Amino acid sequence: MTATWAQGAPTESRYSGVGFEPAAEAAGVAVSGWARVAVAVHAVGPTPAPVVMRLDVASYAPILIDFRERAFEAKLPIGQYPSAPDSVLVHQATMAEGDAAVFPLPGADLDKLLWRVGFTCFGDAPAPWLIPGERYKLNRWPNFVELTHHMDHIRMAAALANAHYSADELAAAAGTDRSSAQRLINAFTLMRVVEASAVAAVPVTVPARADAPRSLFRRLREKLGM
Amino acid sequence: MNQPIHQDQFVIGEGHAALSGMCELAPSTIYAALLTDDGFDIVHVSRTQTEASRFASMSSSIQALSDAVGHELRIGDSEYVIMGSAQGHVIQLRIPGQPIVLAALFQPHETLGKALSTARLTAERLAQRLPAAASAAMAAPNF
Amino acid sequence: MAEHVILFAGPMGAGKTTAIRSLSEIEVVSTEAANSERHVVDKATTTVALDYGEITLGDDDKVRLYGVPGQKRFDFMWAILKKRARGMIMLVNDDAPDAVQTMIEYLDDFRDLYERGGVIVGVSRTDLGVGPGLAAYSAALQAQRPDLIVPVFTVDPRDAGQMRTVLMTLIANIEMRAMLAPAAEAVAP
Repeated sequence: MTATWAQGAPTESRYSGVGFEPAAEAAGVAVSGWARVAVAVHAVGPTPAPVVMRLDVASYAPILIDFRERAFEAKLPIGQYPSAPDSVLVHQATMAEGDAAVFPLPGADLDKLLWRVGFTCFGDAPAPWLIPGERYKLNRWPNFVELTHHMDHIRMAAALANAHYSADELAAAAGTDRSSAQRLINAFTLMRVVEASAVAAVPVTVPARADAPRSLFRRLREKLGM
Repeated sequence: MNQPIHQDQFVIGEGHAALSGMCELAPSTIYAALLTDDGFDIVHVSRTQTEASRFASMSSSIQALSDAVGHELRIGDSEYVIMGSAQGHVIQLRIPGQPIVLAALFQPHETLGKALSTARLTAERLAQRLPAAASAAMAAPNF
Repeated sequence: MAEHVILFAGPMGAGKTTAIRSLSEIEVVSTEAANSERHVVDKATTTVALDYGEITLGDDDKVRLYGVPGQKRFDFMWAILKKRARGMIMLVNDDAPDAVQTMIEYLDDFRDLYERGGVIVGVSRTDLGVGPGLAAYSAALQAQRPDLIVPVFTVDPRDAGQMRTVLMTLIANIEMRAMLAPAAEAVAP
């Protein structure tokens, strides 16, 4: 399969010999654009996995994902890809033991791509792989220094680091809106930085005193203008 | 690379002689040590059980903190530090021109004036015996 | 007067003094002395007591930033300062020998803070690509205490924006943890 690259791409493609095939569509899930990508990525399962994926974003250079390395390569900074592309075709291939990387390593951390995709691609709706009634808890902090973020994201991640929350409970605990909480859960489950539980108990928080001062987080956030 | 001061046998020898001389001048001396600015014990003389390496680290911290106070108050570097307690006085000061601190513990009956003048005299005599420190070793405290 | 003490700890040369300078509103009070161990870490000076910086939030409200010396021979300073600390930023260089093990050993010395969830780890120089990389630090922490999810971020101590993200994450984690009621939780319906 011959690669088609945007201007400036290398003339020789490392992946030209890889047998990419269209990624299987998830049964009963009609998605397009980045949502299609998210469903296909989630279907790969936990990483590392011996799979590589090529995302053909209409009018843009392809994005390559190597799930063995939890890395991706894109010719543009990920923020310069459209937030709602006209179409994204997803192709993937299973790699054998010892097969070479499809782009120069280390590549970029896959979390960067999945954070951007996962936070926006399903809007305010739950991602199709989420099960009603589940609660979520972090199993790993994403590296927020490398992710475009707001302080609300950090506050929600801190909540998830310490207890299991549903989207509604997360919004209440972190003092954010439900839409942001749902989007964060969508992204975090795609990034596989949270574990889901159908049986985790409702988190119980100490009631705030009416005369309690504003939190240090809030005061520092205002001071630092974040 | 220059040998670290605390491993320099000449410095150790001269230092030991200086501290022994100080103990003769002031028999009230319980413990006396020379240490590097960054807290390594060079040499010590002791009439008590003291963990020399720990004392050296603590003395260097005190020296640096006192210099920081002097800088903050714009009164210049600390010339000496005195810590008084019921069972003895600790006096410490820098060896002029060297990245070395002299720290000594005197019995409580010793007057502060005598203890301080003895320590100063010892420091000045040692300074004359040691070669000028290499400029790299005398990096000024970075405030 | 409300004071919130944040410690900066980690091996010599990890960037503690630099990190405090990135955050502090005041000129940082340093206690540097000539480094006798240039063969260990090639720095001209080293912290021998503490670094001090601060962020003022109000008339009687400050965040106090204390950097402790990295060498174990100054662990008495660790003991003095950690008693007052709400949280700690541990800095390590990814390209230092045995960086992951060094982190584990340091956390052992600050166990109280660690077990209270008051620690974040900042790993610098990952861009050099010679060290174990971020995942190795998280994995080591997870192996030690699976119940504690410690933030591990890449960081450049010179970068004020990155250091603010690290500081805010630490504070968020401490406060969220404190919000949870101990022991009994409601049974899930």
